[in-house]
Amino acid sequence: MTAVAARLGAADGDGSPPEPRTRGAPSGSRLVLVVGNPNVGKTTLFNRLAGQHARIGNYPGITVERRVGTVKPFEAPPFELVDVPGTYSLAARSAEEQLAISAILGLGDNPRPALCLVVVDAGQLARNLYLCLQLIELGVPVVVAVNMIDEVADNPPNVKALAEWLGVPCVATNARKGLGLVALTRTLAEALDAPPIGRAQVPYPAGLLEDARRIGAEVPPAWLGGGPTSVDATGATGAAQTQALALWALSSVDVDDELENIPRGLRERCLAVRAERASDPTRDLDLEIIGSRYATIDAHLPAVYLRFVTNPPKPKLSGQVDRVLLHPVLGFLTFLLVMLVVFQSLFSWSDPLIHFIESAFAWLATAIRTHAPAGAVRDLVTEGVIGGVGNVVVFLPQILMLFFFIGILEDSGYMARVAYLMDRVMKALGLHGRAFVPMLSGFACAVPAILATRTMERQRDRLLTMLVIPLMTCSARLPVYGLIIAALFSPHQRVGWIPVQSGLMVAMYLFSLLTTLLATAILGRTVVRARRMPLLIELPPYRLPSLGGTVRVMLERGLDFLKGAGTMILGCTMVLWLLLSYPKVGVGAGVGASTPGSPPPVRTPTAETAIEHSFGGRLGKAIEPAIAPLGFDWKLGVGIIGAFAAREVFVSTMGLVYGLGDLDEEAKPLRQRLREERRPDGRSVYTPLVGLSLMVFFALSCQCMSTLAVVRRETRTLRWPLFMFAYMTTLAYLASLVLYQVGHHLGL
Amino acid sequence: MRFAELGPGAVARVTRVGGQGAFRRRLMELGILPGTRLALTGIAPLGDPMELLVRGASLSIRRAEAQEVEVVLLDRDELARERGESPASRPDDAGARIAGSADRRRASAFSRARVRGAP
Repeated sequence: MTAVAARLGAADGDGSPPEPRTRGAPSGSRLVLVVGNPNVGKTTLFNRLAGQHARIGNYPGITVERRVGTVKPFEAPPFELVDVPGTYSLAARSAEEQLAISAILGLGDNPRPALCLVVVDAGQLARNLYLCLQLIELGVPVVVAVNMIDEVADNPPNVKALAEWLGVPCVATNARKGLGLVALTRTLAEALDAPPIGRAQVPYPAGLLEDARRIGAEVPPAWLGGGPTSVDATGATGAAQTQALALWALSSVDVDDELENIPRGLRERCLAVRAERASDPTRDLDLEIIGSRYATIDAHLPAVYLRFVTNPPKPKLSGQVDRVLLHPVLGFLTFLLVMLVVFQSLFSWSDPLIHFIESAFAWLATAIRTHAPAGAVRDLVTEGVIGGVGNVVVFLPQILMLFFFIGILEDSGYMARVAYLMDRVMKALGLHGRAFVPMLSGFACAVPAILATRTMERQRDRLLTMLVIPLMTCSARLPVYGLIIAALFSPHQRVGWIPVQSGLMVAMYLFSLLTTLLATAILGRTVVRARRMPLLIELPPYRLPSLGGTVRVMLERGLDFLKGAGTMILGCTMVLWLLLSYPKVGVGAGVGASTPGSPPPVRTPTAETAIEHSFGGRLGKAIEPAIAPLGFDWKLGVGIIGAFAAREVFVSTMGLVYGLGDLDEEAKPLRQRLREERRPDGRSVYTPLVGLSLMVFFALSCQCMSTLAVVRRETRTLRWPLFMFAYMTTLAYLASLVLYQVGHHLGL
Repeated sequence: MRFAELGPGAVARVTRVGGQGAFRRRLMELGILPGTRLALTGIAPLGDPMELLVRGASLSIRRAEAQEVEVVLLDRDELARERGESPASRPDDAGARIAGSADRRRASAFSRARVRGAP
């Protein structure tokens, strides 16, 4: 702190020459951060520059994706590119927004960058330069890529004039077509050797500068290390940087912020200044800071254009397309059509591929079984390992298809329109319009749907969406519902004019929709509360999606799923397989031997099935007292345990429980058995009420380890998957309990 | 007059950005500052959010946010001057825009009530 104060004193002109200070990166750092507003083609440019070498990681301490790539210029040593999430400003209120400044200054566990590549949209220079000015103020070496230059071909900005004003190299690019990249790569390589510090200055009002000076004394010295290169002999850059950081703190720190690692002194000083200025009617801190920056931009932009237009109209083509796509009737029809295609692709078009993968793995298992000697190892390989890998790979068709469509929708600009159209609906749930596509996908399968939440910017919205997606009726629940409905309800039964069987199926969908909405509303107000933040959807001009980029992202996501969630799914499958296969019949004490403490069976088994003898079977019996109030016997208990692998496994597990062997989709013999199952007193075990209770249990419980594995992967903690499992199981248990007990007492 | 009270097609100049804290700062950082020209391009079919054109960018914000932005409606002379024309030469579409906003005044009173009721 004293060092800073001394430096400030020096800058104020107390006479003593300040020592030259070397700021920044440890020598040899060749890290370039890619910074920019959302929708400026940052990712496309990143991919173009880094080629095929992108690696996906995580920013330290936060679940935001961090993409790293290596650029290999022709005649210079390679350097690293790191993608910073798109942002309109460096000012922050949450830990999430704080990420940009931490990455730029190299704070916390972030490596210190050598350079920032600011990507700006040539058609939106004013707003994009706002972020750029903030970086230049911080004294960080900057190179500007003026991207999407093709879209302003009729009135392009003069890149040279821009560079002249900012004092940093500016390169015109068209990342989509790959134009200007050689020049950009060369500029970056040169800038790494001689870091360009911008000279654009914002003339702030004197009162604000005085406030900044007061706060500057509390700016921690570590923050000043940001950005490399050496300071000029006057030390002016150091003082300017302190001022920039003070202004950052002044716009960011507030009574309700969620920032991390802000020193107490700095926080108190900021709050004190804010409080003082709030009572002064002549002062408006935010307007002074932001207004001064925009005033600077507005003053300089006309010199950058041959023919400057302050308020350009909306691009003609986008305006015309929007007239149709945002039309109250036509717009919704198109929207429904597009969503239908996305949903159908997940729900049915992926089916042949899924079946192909399943039969391929089944074929592999059979081949090994016929050729390898019998034994525990063979069983482990064929059923545990191959079954487990199959359980992972089987998700790929849906994941790839969903990300293909998301890529196309994002790239074309339509995704923003989806958010715009659906925001009114999603707002009622306390969510953002962008949650719509992931939620819709949840009706097909929770796993790709949870991965699709990556398109949401705010972590809180993303988490909330993830937590409620598994409540939606996914396709894996359908075989379970199908079995129960077909076995326990007659096809001829009607309530009024509604056939009971199909009516129940529709009712289950409505039920899941209702519970999802309720859970979103409740969780959004309790567990994952949000501060009120203005919604902002930028509606970018429509653009032709790039197929290459989409396929690339799609494969990246698929691979990431295999690596990130695959091992956990594989492990869980093997544990479940062991549970349901061991100990083998005949190995233990014999038929009828149950673990100590397990309750006496409801009816004495005449011949024990292998699964009954297994740990899983014993576990089913052990939990029977707990699930009996829901109307379930131990056999359903085993089925529920087996369904943890995937809900539809319930059907085959029940088949094994009843010794019926492998069942086909129809599971006719199983339906028969369920209908005929009697208690000792002759009453039916599986009454329609038990069926309803079971369906409600499946609708609400989180019987899907793959979902949990993916949530763990996406949130990078065990806390959220555990919370999800706990809240859903509790909900399911209570709902089934109430339903069964009420129904039972009503004599159903 | 509040921006949320305008009708589709209206063009206005910002006089004051209200609201508090991060909320207000974010609006201003997007370039919605006193003196900025805003055009209300459209309103989503379900009545919210609103699409506006600021400095050539299409953004959409919710009514509740638009309620915080105070504006003055630009009359046809100002719009014509903006286009670099003499005030009397092109009365057509600018006039239509302002008429459009007048039609919406009753609807906006309703939406104001709804905004106040919202959390």
